[in-house]
Amino acid sequence: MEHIRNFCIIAHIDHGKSTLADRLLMLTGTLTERDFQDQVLDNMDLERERGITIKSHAIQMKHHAAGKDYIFNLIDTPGHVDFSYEVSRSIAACEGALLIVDATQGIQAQTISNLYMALEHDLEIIPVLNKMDMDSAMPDEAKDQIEDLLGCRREDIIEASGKTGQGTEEILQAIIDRIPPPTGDPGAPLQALIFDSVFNSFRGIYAYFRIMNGTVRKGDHVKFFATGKEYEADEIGVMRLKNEERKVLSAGDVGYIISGIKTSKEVKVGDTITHVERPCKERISGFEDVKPMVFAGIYPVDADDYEDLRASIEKLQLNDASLTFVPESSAALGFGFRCGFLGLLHMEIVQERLDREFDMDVITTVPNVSFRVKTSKGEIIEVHNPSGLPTANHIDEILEPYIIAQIISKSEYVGSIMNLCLDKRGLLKNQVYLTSDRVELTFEMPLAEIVFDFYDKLKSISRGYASFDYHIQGEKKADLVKLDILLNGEMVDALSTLIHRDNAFDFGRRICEKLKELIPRQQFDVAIQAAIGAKVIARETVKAVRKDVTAKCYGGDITRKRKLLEKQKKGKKRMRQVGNVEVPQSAFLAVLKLD
Amino acid sequence: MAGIYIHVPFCRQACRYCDFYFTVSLKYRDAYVDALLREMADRSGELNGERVSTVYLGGGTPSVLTGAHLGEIMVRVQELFHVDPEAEVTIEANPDDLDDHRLDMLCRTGFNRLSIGVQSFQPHHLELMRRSHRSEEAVDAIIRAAAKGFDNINMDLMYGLPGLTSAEWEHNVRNTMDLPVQHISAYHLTYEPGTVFDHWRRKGRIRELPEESGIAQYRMLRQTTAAHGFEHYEISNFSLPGYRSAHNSSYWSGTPYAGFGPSAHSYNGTVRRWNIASLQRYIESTVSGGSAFEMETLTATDRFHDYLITALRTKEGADLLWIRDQFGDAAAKLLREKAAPYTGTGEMKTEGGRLKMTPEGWLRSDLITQQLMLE
Repeated sequence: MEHIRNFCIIAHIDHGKSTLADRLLMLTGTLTERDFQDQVLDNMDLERERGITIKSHAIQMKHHAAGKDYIFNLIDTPGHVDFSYEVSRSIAACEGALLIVDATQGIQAQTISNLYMALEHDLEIIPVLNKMDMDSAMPDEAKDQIEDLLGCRREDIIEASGKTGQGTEEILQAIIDRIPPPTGDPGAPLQALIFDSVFNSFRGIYAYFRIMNGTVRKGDHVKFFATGKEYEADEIGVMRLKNEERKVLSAGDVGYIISGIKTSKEVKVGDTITHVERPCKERISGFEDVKPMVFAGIYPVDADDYEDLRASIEKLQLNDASLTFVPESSAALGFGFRCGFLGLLHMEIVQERLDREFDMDVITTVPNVSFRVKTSKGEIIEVHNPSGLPTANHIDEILEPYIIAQIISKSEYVGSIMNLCLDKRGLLKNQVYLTSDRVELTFEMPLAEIVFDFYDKLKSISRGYASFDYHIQGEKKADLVKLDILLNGEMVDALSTLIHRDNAFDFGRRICEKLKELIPRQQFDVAIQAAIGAKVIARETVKAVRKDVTAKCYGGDITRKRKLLEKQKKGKKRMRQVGNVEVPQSAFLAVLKLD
Repeated sequence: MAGIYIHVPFCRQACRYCDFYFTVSLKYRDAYVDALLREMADRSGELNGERVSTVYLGGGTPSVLTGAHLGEIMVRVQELFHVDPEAEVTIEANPDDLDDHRLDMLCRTGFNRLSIGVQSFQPHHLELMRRSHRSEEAVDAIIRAAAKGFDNINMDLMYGLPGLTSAEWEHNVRNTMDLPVQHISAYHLTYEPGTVFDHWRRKGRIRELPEESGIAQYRMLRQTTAAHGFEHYEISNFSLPGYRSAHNSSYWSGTPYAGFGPSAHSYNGTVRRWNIASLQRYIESTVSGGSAFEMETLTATDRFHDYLITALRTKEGADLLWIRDQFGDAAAKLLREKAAPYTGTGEMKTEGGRLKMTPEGWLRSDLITQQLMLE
């Protein structure tokens, strides 16, 4: 145990976590030039393209220094707000963390919230200033920020470059010198923290764990605390570049277990593995059953693909336990699924994976958060869908989730960011100048306000400079209404939203304007209305086509004319029919991005 | 009965709205005529000795060919095909090509119908469209053509042009009524992809006339021509009794036609074929004894759709009995059902076993025809 070091990396997207990690892997010989592959830790295409790690992984390195053999376990952390719980479990599995800061950009909101999390878990932090090779590096300014934040000494900050390899040796030495070895009693009852799981189509679920106390052997009879389920440890081992089987793992070790589990739902991140015989007395603290916070309908573009869509979502769920789904149907969109996501990014990822990995064309409806409604009968129901909201006279009270949002930005954008957040019903809780021109703003806000239309706006008003992080804080009473969209008097269920009363008017107006742009002129006038209950609050009209005629039809070219008409007819067939109105798919998608 | 179409792909200059196939270089005229004569000979069997009742030289601007060229072409047509002595023989001409000498020549060569591209009497619109003639030239050409004995003259007019006011349009139509023409083809401008007009519209250099103005101009045109005895017999065509365009009518009635020259279309009842739209390749392939064309064999659905597309353009409309005969009971029934909403709006009507589009229906003929087509 003396020679084990368990650590993670805290970094903002694009601050060079992956390249720096590659450097460590290469220097320790874990990764050879031959199997060098850009950014090994992010092995999903999507992650690599977006530069974000969606699911955490872990890798073991062997390092020889001063005559001793060390084992380093690098536990990767997902880099996005939606996955903050998973980050917290990865952090709980470590004794130390590398804090990587881009010398050209300084500290970002994401980094700070994860850093706070690491400090809460008493992790030893090794600050690393990356991208020192860049001309635009501002090491002094970034070092000031780090010093302020950590209260560390300036000389503790390691200057590095993933690109040139600068600082890699120093980092390895710091890991040995500064990060404490794990503590724990190999003889105590087994207590292992699950920090991640991965689905493998041949072996089922691989659960990744860190042993806090005790020892586990292949073939042991184990129990997962939260689910209460018992399994045989078919295989245990450690994660090198490939998994390596082991007979025994004990306190301080990081490893995987395969026990015939077929779906990710049975493996809950944060759960504790113990023995059936001689179980530990209590599970490792901090376990939460993560619940999806954002819900949206996902429908196949082609109604015939409904069963394929179900199969695809089921497959996604095998390695993404936080994704939930139940069938639902919409008059406008046909059959589909109400899906629950951790957040907006999670939703986008699922959508994109459906597209790329399963080649599914889907329409996603306007997302909403999960509300809790106290009915006049005193019941409490969870509402995931605008159509699930009881009628106004049956509602006593609606509770909506609130978040604490942290935004770090250049000080020149503070005014516009403040306006944006106040518009979104935010309440400023704190404002701290990190340096003379960088400000950290803390808001209390309804989650509902950020699932829609927030990131994009924040980015554009801050020219991409603001970084953003949030965590769920609790819930508050909300004055919500159901806003419906009607086309020639027919309600389009897929466009209904639950929205704060104060925003309903403006939102209704904008959605009507947007639909006016997107709905093509048809044989009849199309009235687009936004309504709360029976009260219409906005209206636009798409005027009927009055003239549609090919003046010339000779030279005998009938073929072209026929093909043109057939093509137009086909185009209309692809549209959704709402009453007598043809609505293009784009209308359902584009309302997600107003403005 | 059959028709012959000859495409003459030369123009002195490019009109900014036109998307027919043409070239403004006149230097290949000889080579073109040689190739054309060859093609006609090579394909003369296609009409199966059928009597030819119409010959039509279109373009482009056929009137840019010399008298010798036209003479050679017409002689060859007579040699190769069984042309009815009463056949309608049309040539499209620009007013600036029609001096007395050429009118005489056209008459001698056998043309008995002129289709003159006037388009507008407004100098600023002629300029905008980049027409090669002036307004007075057009009036003069028509009067002289009539004096030379041409008693079947069509005049092309365009409305819906950018900035065309109702006063200007009324002036154009009334002017036309004063001229010795028996037929009018009047088109609402369409912005065809690839034309200068379309480009200008997208750049905002010209602005599309509001739909309402276009519709008003259409109605005004109908009223005025009707008052002067013209029959509105096809979406864009008006004629005095007995002066319908027999050739164009064959396109709308399913009569076979053979088209010669680059981009020309042919139809034999089951196959549509069209020569490639390239003068260079047309000449090369024809001279080497081949031909460069594309074709499609019509399926029953294609034939049904073609019939709807063409027949509904005409005043006579579609023959429901014939449809039942050709495509079966179900097709005829379905058609009547699909047409019902439009008979309700007055855009269609059934009369004497024929399904027709009314002049108001023609305004939305593309949209309606689409709805009538099979899924």
